[in-house]
Amino acid sequence: MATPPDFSSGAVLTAAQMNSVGLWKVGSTTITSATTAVLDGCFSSDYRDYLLTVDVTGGTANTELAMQFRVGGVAAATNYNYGQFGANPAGVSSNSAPGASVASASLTFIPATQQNSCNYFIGQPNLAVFTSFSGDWYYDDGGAQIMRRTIGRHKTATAYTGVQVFTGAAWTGKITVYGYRS
Amino acid sequence: MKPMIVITDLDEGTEDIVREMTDEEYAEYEYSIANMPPPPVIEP
Repeated sequence: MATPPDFSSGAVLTAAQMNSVGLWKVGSTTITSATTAVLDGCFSSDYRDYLLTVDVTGGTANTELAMQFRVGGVAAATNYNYGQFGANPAGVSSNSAPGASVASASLTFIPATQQNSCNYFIGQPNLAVFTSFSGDWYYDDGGAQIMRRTIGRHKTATAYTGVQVFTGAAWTGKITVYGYRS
Repeated sequence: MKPMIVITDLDEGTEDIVREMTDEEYAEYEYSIANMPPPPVIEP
């Protein structure tokens, strides 16, 4: 038996088939020469865990890219706890920069002239429990090839309904949120 | 001119809103940028 959903051309899809779809696009925001991309209403009781993809097609200056969770149209600006690991495959060296109860979760660095994409797992944002997040990014920093990973948790037990991704300088790209059916 | 923000509200089902940040949003943005931890130090 094929792993469901097993769609065929012209078939009428049943609720059971559609409910077996494991990853579903919830929504996206396209950003053009702005600093902050907001997607409200993307977290709900429909899904427990989510995937956030961030696509950068252009920047205006070297800057960090960070994330905050939202509820009621307001961003939560405290209690982000996380660590980051970076590695340069040419130099084989790495370090980490922990953030303890800070205002946002810094995800990565965006060099001004580059295009990059990444994905982040977001665990249980719409439950009134701590929200976990982790993800990876790769970029070119002045010729050095950098791999970077963020792992953390937002230690506020709030049911969030949205997310925003922001930088210190205007950027162009898209953020998209998908829900994992559990 | 304050930074620009793009807002999509899936519950409202409206088009993306593109506008300058409000004074309150700008204050929170400035605070968040100022309090962002330093990135990892990666020596080449």
